[in-house]
Amino acid sequence: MLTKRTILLGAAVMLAVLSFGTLAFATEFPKAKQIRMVVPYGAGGGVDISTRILATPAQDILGQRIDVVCMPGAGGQEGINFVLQQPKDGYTLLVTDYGPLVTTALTEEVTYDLSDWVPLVQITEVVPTFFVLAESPLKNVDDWVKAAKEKPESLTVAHGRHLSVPHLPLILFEKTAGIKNTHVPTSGGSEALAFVLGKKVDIGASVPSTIASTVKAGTMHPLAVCSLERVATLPDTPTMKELGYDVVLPAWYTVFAPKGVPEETLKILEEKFIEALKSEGAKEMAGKSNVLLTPYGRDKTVGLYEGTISSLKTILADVKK
Amino acid sequence: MDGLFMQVLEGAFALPVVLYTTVGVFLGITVGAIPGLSGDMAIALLLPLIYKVSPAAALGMLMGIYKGSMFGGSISAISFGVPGTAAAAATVEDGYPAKLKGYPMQAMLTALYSSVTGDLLSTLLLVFVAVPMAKVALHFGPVEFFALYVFALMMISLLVVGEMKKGIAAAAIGLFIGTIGMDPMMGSVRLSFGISSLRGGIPLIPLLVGVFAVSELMIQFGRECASRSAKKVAEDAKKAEDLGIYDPAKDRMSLKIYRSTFKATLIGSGMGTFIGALPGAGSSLAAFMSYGLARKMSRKPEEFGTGTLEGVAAPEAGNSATAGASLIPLFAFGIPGSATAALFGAALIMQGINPGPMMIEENKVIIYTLFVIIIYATFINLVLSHGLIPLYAKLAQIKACYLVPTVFALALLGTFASRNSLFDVWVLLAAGVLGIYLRKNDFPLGPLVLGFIVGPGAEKALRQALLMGRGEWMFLLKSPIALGFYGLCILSLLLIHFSVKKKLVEED
Amino acid sequence: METAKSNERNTISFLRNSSKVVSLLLMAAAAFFFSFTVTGKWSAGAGIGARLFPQLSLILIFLSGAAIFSGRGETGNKKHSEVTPLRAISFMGLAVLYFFGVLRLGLAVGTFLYLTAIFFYFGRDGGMIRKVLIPAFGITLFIWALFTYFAQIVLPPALLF
Repeated sequence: MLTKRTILLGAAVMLAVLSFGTLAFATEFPKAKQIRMVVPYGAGGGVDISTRILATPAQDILGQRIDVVCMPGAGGQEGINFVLQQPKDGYTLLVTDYGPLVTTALTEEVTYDLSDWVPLVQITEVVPTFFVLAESPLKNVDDWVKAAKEKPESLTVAHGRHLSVPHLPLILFEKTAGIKNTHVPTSGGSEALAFVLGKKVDIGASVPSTIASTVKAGTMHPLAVCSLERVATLPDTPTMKELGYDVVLPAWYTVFAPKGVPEETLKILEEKFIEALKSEGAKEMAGKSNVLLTPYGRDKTVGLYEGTISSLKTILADVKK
Repeated sequence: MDGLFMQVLEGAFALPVVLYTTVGVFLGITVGAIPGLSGDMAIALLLPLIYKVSPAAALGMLMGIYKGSMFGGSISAISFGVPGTAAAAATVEDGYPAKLKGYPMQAMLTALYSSVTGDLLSTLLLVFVAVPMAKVALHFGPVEFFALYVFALMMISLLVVGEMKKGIAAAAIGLFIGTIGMDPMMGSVRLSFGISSLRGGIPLIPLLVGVFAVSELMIQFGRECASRSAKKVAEDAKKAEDLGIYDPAKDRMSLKIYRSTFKATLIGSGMGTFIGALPGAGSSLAAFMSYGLARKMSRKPEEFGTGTLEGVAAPEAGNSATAGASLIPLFAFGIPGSATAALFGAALIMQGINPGPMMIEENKVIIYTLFVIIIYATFINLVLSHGLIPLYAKLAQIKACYLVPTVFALALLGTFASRNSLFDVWVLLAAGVLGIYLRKNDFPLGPLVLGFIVGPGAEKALRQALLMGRGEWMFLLKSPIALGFYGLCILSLLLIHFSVKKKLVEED
Repeated sequence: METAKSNERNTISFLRNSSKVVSLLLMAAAAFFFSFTVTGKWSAGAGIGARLFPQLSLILIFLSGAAIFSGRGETGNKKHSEVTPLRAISFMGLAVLYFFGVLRLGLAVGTFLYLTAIFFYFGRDGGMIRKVLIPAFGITLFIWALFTYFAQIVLPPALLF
């Protein structure tokens, strides 16, 4: 029976619990509550796996639970907005590549400015790679340029989503080499790979992990990678720079904090995350998953972030809307 | 060879592995039975486990979840008319009427056996012919996919019970809803009306669960409300009319039943394996197409929708067959055939196994162990489900006034938890409103789902094909596979035309 | 005089014929959305543009709506008549309230209140405690355990648990 007494008792209990909750905020970082690292992609993807490689050892080093939360909604914007809406106390962080964060900001209206984000630690980077079937008449990039110059737009290139990580270097390359191809957007690296394998398109653009197995089997031949140095898993593949084309656009997977998080918290996070990435546990997991760890701190990540923003601005300026 | 054989057996039948696999199947069935939660979600949540236990145990568990959830969805589909997973939506059509007519056990056991059959068949294909099958799948480029999707949309006519015009309208609505969000090629945001959450489009699972499950829950809610205000006599009469008198003795599974539904099961298995092996197609599509095809080829098509067991066997075989089949492109080329296969791929990567052509060569022991586990997981599924079905059937007997709010709460929370998105919950509710409105006006729901699933894929395929063909529409006919599908379309149209004509003549 | 009466009867039967109403709604909605597809700033890009499919589907909706409108349609056979607008709205309203309850008051408290309210409405006979509170509490426990332990869902910080 809902007597007055029961109601009062209930209210008293609620008040007690409420006040207990507020005590949590007075403790030092990171003891108050668990840390959340938000990934604006679906579970099981590259960013997710890389974040887990960081989060697992970092939990022990920081002494606090770290949850990796995937929020792929609205093309990743839901995850980004979620981090922005949380209190800026360092307990909610974003881990992403430049796609949802920078490309979307430069091509559409978003709820933030690019300066609202502080890059902390880079976990790894993925390198856009161009590839063809081993039996293709195109044996290297020069063949590609020659064929494209002879018959513009005769070659089809499958590249994942529009303006995605493999697509932008393609645009840059075409501008640098002065050629034109027909782009075939797909839903991702796997579909691009499938099209090349099935001889539906001539060239594919994706990342090394997608094509690693077929390259090893000898079915696929990578033409070039778009990074400063050769990729460890594809030691025989030249970089675009080596071949004379200034196309360097690797995609970093970096941990970001929203602007407004106190500097001491940022320092702790940076220090402990780098320690986590250099730990044996991380190295083991990364080795298993074929991820190359790049434990860069803020000295490097800030520069890379701004560099990417300006490169993207240049490339996107030419893309017809 | 002997040493390998022994190693594989040791690995596959080690106690922790069997244990984890069993736990996985149990989790899968349970999660699958709860609307809003899906096997994918459970797999994603348990991915971190991979680093902590042996590869065989971890993969066994994930496999168990996958298989269990394929069947689990049909449990709630049959018991309360609410599909537990997207793939079980087609099972509701005949599964729920079967329960209402008094034979839920037969329906669930039929679902189980055809599920297991479909699963086993596609797994055997995976183990023995993965690479050749994958090579066939590679022949499917945009041109072929577009033809396939057109054919799938034609199948709408097979799914429609009642006026075809309403079926087409429902499919068109589904198509339209599918276009909301980023267009598949240029990424421009369509029809978002400024709402940023719509940028990614309408998510499939909330839409499906909303249209089917929430509308069904509303109907049962309405029934409960109505029976409360009616007089007790009328209430009892109505209940008796709805449920019939449940006679457990008459509701037994038998070999005869299994044989009578075998054709439907085979159709489903074949369709499911085919669709599963094609990257991007999906288990719900397989379920609906199996249902449609089985109906077309059945001797008693008019019974579909009234509770015929064939109508339960076909979609269940169909959606379970996609399980093994979607791993085919993953194992052969490293290309995941579905979201779940992608999760599997991630799990393999985390273990240092690179999915693709070299995978089997380089990791003989673990991969063969995995094959053995996949096969016996199916049997664990069979045994466990046999035990769980009576339990779940009892649960279904709980009074609707308790069941409906609970299932609804689970659906709401499960939808939210799936992608941590409040927007998904709004979609769920809005889809429920749409669903109930359509149902009240006698619009079939199947075509809507089909339109929504197939639409974006069809558009992408069409536009890709036109890009590759440099704008020539004739390019679409340059493939024998595509021509084959178009031929099937024309055939179906002719068949329908003649059967309609025949019906009209008969009515005269 | 006679025609006026039969006109009135025709109008009523017209409105009662739900398929007519629905088909008109469909056509109106199709036209409405079509206007957006014309004015939307969607990049055309190479090949056919982004407008084609939405427009195609809307045209299809419109045409099938027109076909339904001109067809005979059924006046009788009101399906699922027990789902009245009032019940539908209250069902949805409950869901929204429930969810806000979960977000503001916490998963367990919100679920408990929601379940209690519904069970109360349905099963008042038979005693408050036995038929309302205990089931509500039990199910709340199950749901809370399932989602907090197992699923670890991300809820904005709520007041209670």
